[in-house]
Amino acid sequence: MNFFFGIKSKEFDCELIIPKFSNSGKINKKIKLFQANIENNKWVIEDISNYQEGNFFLIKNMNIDNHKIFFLAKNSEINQSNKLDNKLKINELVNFSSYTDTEPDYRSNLKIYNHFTFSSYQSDYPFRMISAKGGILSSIYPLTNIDADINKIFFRNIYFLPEIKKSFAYLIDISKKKVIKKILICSNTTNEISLSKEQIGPNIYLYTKDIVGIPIYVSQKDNSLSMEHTHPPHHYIVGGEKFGLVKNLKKKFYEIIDKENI
Amino acid sequence: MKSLIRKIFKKNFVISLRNNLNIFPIKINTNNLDKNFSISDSFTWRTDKKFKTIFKFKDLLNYFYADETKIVNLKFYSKEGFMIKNLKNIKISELNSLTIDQKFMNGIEDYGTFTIFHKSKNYTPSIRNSCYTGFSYDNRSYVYVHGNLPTSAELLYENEKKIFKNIIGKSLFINQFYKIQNRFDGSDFVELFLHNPCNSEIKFKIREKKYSLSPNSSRIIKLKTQEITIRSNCYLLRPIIFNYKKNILDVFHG
Repeated sequence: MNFFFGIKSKEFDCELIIPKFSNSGKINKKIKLFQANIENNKWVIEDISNYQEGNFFLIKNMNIDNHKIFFLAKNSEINQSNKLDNKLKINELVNFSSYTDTEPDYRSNLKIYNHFTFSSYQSDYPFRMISAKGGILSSIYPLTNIDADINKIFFRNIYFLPEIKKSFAYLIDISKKKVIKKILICSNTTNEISLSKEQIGPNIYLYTKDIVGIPIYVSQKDNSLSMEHTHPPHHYIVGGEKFGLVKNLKKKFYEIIDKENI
Repeated sequence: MKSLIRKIFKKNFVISLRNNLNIFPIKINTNNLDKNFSISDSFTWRTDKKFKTIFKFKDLLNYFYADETKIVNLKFYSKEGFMIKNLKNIKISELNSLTIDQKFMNGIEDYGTFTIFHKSKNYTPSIRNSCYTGFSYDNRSYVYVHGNLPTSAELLYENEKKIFKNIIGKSLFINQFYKIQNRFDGSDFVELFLHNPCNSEIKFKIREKKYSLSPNSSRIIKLKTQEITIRSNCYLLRPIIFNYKKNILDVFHG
């Protein structure tokens, strides 16, 4: 099962296009779009299938914030027993539906835009990540542009419990073994991290020690906008030893924040 | 007995049979490539029209294994699938960027693919280079996409003895559907960049028009349509999409 999310930012508006059909072209006419939001320590699930145009669900900027998530399921797959005022209240996210379990992954189109330009990527947040422990490590350099007017990272976490918990992300210069910025981030949030020119370089990494998520890099220069995410380090290693190798790699970064007692 | 059946099921000729007949197909086959290989995605280069390309990549062997060899081979292919530039034993840094413009391609104004293979004499678990290409249109700043599919592999410690290319599976029949999960109703037009990662010719159809691609060749197909479905005999014929709207370029993987 996949979840989908949006981005709310001062610089950009956002639109999320979620297809009703899988990438093999199959479509289930009974499929519905649900929104999940945190209210009073509960996930509140709401049917928003009226946001539809033809073969797509379309979530416009005014209906997007940095917390709401979206998913596809049939009505029969959602437990109706706790339903109150047309809303379902639950204590944790579960694997509601297998409709989006496809190969290749079932994706939405996440688009950001402003008066000058637009950019998009095929986006999803897999169910397996919502209970994952640990952190992320992402190289800043490949997807930033030191000459751009805007460089940002949108770091998205979805956690299965209905809580917005504070944590930290770090920009670390690995060659100097130094933390150059400590950033407050939250779970179940699209966190916006602005990068100055000094924070862009080949040796600088984004690191979190206890919150996983997807780092999405955005850079804008004039009317050209780029948006793409980095892969986790284990994506680059083939075979069973990948997780041990990545653990050792992340340890180096953890030691830097531990040493600086940050 | 179960393990014997599992072993037989993973033999390359059995996988080929399974794929051809679409019986429990293996779409991406990296069996026997898990140690001592450098695996590469097929990356797109464009110098046609108003394009130039940038490739940003990491020294993966140094990053993961502190390997100090710092050498790669880069192979560039024309859209017809022929190797047109072969850069051997290129010294690299920890992070690298390579600009691919007409000057770099010796005046060629066209498009195609390229692969990158890291080299080392050390024995390690295999690595996959799936780094980032950026596309600059009309001299604007680069719009980036990450690598999408592993397509070929070379041994880390042998120089071009053998390239393994049969990673992405194909079927005998045109029975694979790939519908891009986006709509293009507001676009001026869309260009699909398609590449054949298989060892033999593939066939595909878009809006009932028939196409074929010889091994390693690529093709840009210009379309003006709201929804796009590709029907093919390749299990993962997933395009890079160049989406144009009011002179703005958006690039993303299908």
